[in-house]
Formats: sequence, C-alpha cells, structure tokens
Amino acid sequence: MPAVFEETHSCQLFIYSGTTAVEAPTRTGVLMLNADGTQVSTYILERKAVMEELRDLYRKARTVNWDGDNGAPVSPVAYEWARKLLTSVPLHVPAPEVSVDPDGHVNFDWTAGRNRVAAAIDERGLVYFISLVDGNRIRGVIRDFSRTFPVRLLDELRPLLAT
Amino acid sequence: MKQEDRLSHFLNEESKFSSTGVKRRTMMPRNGSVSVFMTEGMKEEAVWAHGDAYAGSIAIARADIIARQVDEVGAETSSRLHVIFDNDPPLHASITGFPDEKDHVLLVAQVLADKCGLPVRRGGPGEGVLTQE
Repeated sequence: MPAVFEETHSCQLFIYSGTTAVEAPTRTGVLMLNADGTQVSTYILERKAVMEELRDLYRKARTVNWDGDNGAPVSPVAYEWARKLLTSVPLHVPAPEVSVDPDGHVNFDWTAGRNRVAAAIDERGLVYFISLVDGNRIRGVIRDFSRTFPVRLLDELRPLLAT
Repeated sequence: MKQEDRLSHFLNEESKFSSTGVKRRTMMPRNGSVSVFMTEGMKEEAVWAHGDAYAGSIAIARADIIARQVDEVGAETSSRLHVIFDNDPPLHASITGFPDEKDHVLLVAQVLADKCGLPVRRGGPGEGVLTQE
C-alpha cells in the first residue's frame, strides 16, 4: 500500500459487498482507500457537517415545544441512537439530510431525483423506513439495529446510489 | 367543502421546503392531524394575509393541496385520510385519519407532500396585509 497516511491515529476496516477498504484519519481529514491502496473517496467535510447538523438539531429540539408547535423533544437516548445510525452509514452512501419529526424522532433522508428513501429512529432504536423508488412504495421497521448499518436499508438505497 | 377546493398549509420556515418541493416533515401530523386552511377562491394577497393572521406566524410559503387529492392519498396508501372542516379559526380544517404505525405515517406524509403545490411568497412578509374594516 502506498505511503499515504501522513499521520494516522487509527484505521477502520470497512467491508461491504465484497469490497474491502480502509478508513483512516490523516492531517487533511479522513481518507478511504481500497485494499490496493487506491483512493475511493474523501468525505471529510460532508460527514462532519451532517454530524454537526444533527448535534445542532438535537440542541434545538431537546425541549418541549422546540418548534413552537408543541413538538415533542428529542430524548438523549434517541439522539444517541440517531448518532449511531448516522455513524454507521457506509462511506459509499451519501450523507443523508437530517431533520426532526414533531414526535421527536430523528429523520434521515436520501433523495435522487424523484426517488427517495427515508428512515426515522426512535428512543428504542427502532428504525422506521420508507422507500419510494421507481414508482414502488415500500415501508417497514428494522428492529435489530445496533451498530452496523441495516442491510435492509442499504438494499433500499441501492437504486439511489446507481443514479 | 367541495372536492376541488384548495387547502393551504402555511410554512414559516425555509427548512420545510426546498427547490424540489414540500418536505415530508411538513406534512407529518401533530396530535394526529395536519392543520390547513380552506383558501379556495381567495385572492393571493388575501391567502397570505389569512395565514399571517391565523396560522401562528408570518408565512413565507404554502403547501397547497386539493381536497380530492387528500382522499386519493388515503386510497393510495391504504389509510383513512380525510379532511375535517371546523372553521376554528376561520376557514380552518384538519387533514386527519393518519395511521398508527410510524412507518405508515412516514409514507402517507411523503405521498401527501409530493402532491402539494408550493407557492412561495414573493413580496415577503407584509404582502397582502389583512385590513380591518
């Protein structure tokens, strides 16, 4: 592997669908490399910005009536679940748009043209998702999310990644 | 209320819409319903003024939908979505009948949002100020 890591603190092995990559922090940000050392993508600012946006949303929405319209607050537990889900988004998947629902659940939205996939996570870690892709409408609940990005959600996102 | 009547949900934040349309969370129910106003037949200035007066804050855009489309969304999403006109405050109505399951609510709200027109206020706050006689 080429000597691309000027300053490496830790590396994270990333494996998905037969693709193995290494994610590593460098002086300039985070770098993702294929197993052969070629660069896959940089996503430094995008991921960082979305994580900060989520934190800002939580700060805004952690009290009752945060939206001036009786919105339910985002609980600390729900925020932690949302952070886990956002952190688990694979590197080849674009960062989602984040928002908060009136019921205090954190939402993640991915859009490509008229196709969209959305997920909301609650304080129990349940992930509610919808997929409106190519005229098909699918909805469901993922009950076993812990740390790894749900395969089911990834399957729904796949058509959006191709566009 | 007639099937072809226009219903308007007033938007007071830019985060509730984008260049591509009304965002789903705008049409997510609060306490089981989405608040709308029956604005059919009103002049644009009067619509904005009505929103300023009764929707709680200065409106910068609207999510407009035809009453019939609400029923259609209900049928398309296997929900019991319908409109209840209560006139409290004046011309107020509620889109209600959202399902109980969260993922189902997300779907209904998304389909509703996709059906909405998005008139954006051009003149900014103050356009169409409600005059008292």
